[in-house]
Amino acid sequence: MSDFIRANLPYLLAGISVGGQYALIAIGYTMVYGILRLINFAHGDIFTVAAYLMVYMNATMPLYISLPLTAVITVLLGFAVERVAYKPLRDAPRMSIMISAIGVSYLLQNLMWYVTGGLAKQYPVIPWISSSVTLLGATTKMVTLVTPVLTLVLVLLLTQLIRHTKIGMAMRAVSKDFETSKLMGIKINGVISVTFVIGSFLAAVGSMLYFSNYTAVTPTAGAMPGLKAFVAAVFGGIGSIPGAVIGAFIIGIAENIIKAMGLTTFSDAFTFALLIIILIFKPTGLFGEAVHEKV
Amino acid sequence: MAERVLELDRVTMQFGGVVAVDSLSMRVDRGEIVALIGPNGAGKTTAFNCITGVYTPTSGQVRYLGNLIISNRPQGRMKELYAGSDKAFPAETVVNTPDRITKMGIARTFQNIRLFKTQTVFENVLIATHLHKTSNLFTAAFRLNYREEQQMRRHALEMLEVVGLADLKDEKATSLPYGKQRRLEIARALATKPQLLLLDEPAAGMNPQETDDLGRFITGIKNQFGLTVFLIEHHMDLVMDISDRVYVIDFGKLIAHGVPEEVQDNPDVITAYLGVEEE
Amino acid sequence: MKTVKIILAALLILCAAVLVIAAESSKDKLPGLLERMDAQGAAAQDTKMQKAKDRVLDALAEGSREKVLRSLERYLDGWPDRLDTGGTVARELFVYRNRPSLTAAGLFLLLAGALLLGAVFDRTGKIRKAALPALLIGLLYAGVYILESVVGSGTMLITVLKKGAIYALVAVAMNLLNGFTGLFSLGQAGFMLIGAYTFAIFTIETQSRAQVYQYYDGGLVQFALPTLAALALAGAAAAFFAFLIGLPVLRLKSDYLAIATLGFAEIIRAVFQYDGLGPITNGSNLLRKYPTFDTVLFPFLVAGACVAFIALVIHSTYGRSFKAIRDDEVAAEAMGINLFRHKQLAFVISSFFAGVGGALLAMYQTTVQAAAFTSAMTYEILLIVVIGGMGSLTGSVMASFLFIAASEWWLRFLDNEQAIGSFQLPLMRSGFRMVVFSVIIMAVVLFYRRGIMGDKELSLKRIARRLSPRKGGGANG
Repeated sequence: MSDFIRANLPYLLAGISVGGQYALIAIGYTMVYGILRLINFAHGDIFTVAAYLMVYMNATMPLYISLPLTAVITVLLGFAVERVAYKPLRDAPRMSIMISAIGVSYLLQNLMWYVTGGLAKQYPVIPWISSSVTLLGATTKMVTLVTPVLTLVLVLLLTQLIRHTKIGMAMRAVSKDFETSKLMGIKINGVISVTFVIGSFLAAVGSMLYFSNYTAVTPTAGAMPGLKAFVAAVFGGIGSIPGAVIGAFIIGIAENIIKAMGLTTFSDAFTFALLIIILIFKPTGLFGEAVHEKV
Repeated sequence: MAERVLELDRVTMQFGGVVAVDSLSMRVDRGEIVALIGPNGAGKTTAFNCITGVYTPTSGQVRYLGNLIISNRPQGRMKELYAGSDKAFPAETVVNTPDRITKMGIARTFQNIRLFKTQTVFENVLIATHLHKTSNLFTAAFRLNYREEQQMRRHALEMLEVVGLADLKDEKATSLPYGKQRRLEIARALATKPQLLLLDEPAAGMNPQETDDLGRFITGIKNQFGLTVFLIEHHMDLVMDISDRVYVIDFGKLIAHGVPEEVQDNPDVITAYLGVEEE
Repeated sequence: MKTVKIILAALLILCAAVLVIAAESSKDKLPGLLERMDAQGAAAQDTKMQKAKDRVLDALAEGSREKVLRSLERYLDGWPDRLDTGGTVARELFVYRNRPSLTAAGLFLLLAGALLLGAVFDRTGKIRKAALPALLIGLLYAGVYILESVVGSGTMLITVLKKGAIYALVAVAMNLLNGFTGLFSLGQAGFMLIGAYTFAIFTIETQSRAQVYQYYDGGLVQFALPTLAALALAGAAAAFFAFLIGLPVLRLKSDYLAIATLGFAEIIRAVFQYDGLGPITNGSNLLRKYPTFDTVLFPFLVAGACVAFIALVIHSTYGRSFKAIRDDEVAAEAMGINLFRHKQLAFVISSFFAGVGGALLAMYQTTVQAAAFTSAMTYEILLIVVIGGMGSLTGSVMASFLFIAASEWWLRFLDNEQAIGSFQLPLMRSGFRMVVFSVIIMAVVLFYRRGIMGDKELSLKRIARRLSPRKGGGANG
């Protein structure tokens, strides 16, 4: 029995940990989708940019400066992307704005490639977070244990914000009915900016946790976790924050179970198979609401 | 007795807890013009959507020319939410998609005009001839169906002539004035070769003169194509002028039914339209 | 008159078929021919001649056309009476030597025949209208052929033309779906991968299989199909997968469709790299030693024929229904158009040609690996479609050549460090090209949303109207 635990616990822990990291990215997707009905394809790349910022800044600055600075710059980037690439297309067909998101993703990836020369960079070691710890005979990094806790704390804070503050109420209103909230005098652009700021901040935190674990940073390193986080958001019911978090944990754990079974090649494919299955049987996801089209 | 073209039996449409159409039963006979009226939000368009397969009614049946085309009873979550009495009615389940219902011979227009906006007037009508094609992808791609293609084009043009839009055939559909867009919608519906034509507020946004013309026009096409017409309308003059019978609904429920004169004097109808005075 | 044209068209197509088959099968006939020459001449007993012959056979096995021709030349030089070896032999050798040109010529005739047939059957008065563009396209192809023989096959210009033609096909296929039917699908790279692999797997020369599939005992498939058949099979395989995946995903709303097709492409990429399928797909290793093309005419003709077919579909009653679905699904359904069936049709056609495009890309690259067919590839093609204009075939074609030329050629200089005098230009180093390029694309997406053509097509009428001196006087300009 203890052998079994020792053999499989690392996978389970890794699953919970990576699930928490996906959850932090997934919230950015699900909030943006809830409000703009936009799959923000660039979100995964913002996540990667955060990692590069950390790599470069940590080389010249102490941690207590580089860490918050990374978060601030990432947030500014998310804000800027929305203002430059999505805001001008507010009245354009939905497909145009998604194409713009794809364009931003393409630009960010090429930009990162240019700056880094395409070589993989080593993510800096963050004291304590990156240190090893032994649990029930299984050795793992501290980050594995920190992630789920930190994720839950942040999600709790976020739900409080959405439930009890004025901006949170505005966000709920906008996601319910974009046009009407505009007529009711809600400053749509402000709400959207706040959404991107929150999403990018959580992506920056997620990036710190994720790359402490998978330390090689390449320009496309964020693409796959980004897509998976999006799948998690769809799985949980897009637009729903608890849904995204639960979806992310399920995907993170399932993916690591697949790895434990020795089918690593299929761990990515599995996520998408899961997506297709859920879309067939429950297109609104676990916690999504059905929408009736008006004819 | 005249042949029944359309028959609704206790059709109910419920969105969650909201009952949009409540146990509506009615019939339309061959050659008639029947109007469905009621205040805004009474559930008229929802009734149309239930007949044409856009929505599957929560319960009830729709028959067309004696055949059951739609039949459903409360299922799944709706079993608990269903507000009606008989949860076991009807026994059968028949579902048809809108395209199949159109193929059977029921064509419709839309209240909020839904033309193909990037297409020309002519193309809009031509698309509606697609459903009777016999060609497959390859014969169509390689123009081996040229005879049929020619027929489709001729038919589309004829329909445009019927509604008087033939000279505007190469204009973009959305560039037409409002009244003409409504006529184009009718031409498009006619191009599907229907037996029953459903018109959803065909006179919306028209002035009295245009409304008059429209009334004559509807009677005209009815006679010319041997149609049966079922329409939703707010212009009472038009309804009283052309309809053989009128159904009135309010909050999804049928409140009156009869020839125009009867309905006009019905106190319930007056209340529904003018509201009840406060005590 | 009509009958004459039909007969003429049939004859053209027949000739085309004979030419293509003869040219394509000439390689397989070569060993037999050599045997026959042996049997005829005393020189066959000569050991030097035997060696020369073996060299020809080796070169054949290796699959290098240039080597075969060189060794064949040397072998034939050894014959004192090289042209008296019998008429058939000389003819066959001629065919082998000129194989690409003959195939090209055959495809030309095929195109001509098809155009003629199209003209006969288009009874809506378009015969004369179609003749001029057809002639111009023919001239364009002739021009490209001459250009290639003048500047040489390996130059950047020809490379861009080759790759541009392939991208034109995949972009047009994607436009059929995204631009004409309004389905936001992101599975293009997956279908191209299926096409590329199907083609490669079924055309690798049997002699080379042991070498290519060295980790899998030579692989499972032990035969090779002719190139054109394999191209069709590549399309069919992609179309078949599209049919299957379409059953569930085409019922989804637009953005869910996008993410489901994207996911499907990722699954395909993983499956094709899976070790367990190695005997078929060679796992994550390269596939190589399958037929390639050396003349630019080949991708031009195949892609041209495919684009022509897509154009024919779009202008048929089916194409009109696709556009109706794009404009308003509810109204289209109310007009009796079966949404699912027509979406499926568009999806399957688009994927078929994405598969053919993938196969052409494999031929162009000479080697193929599943790992390269990433979602970034899909994004690139989508951006081409946007630049050309959603809903414009000619736009997609033009944008493809522009995109490839810009990314592979015109902006290359940005990747190199350059100095004016002693002043080192800043920023210019490896990777800068793609940054500039993506900025240009973003500018198009944001400020020039309709792309080059919008949803209009490039036609002679439009060009004539633009060029006419009475500019601005047109009633419907």
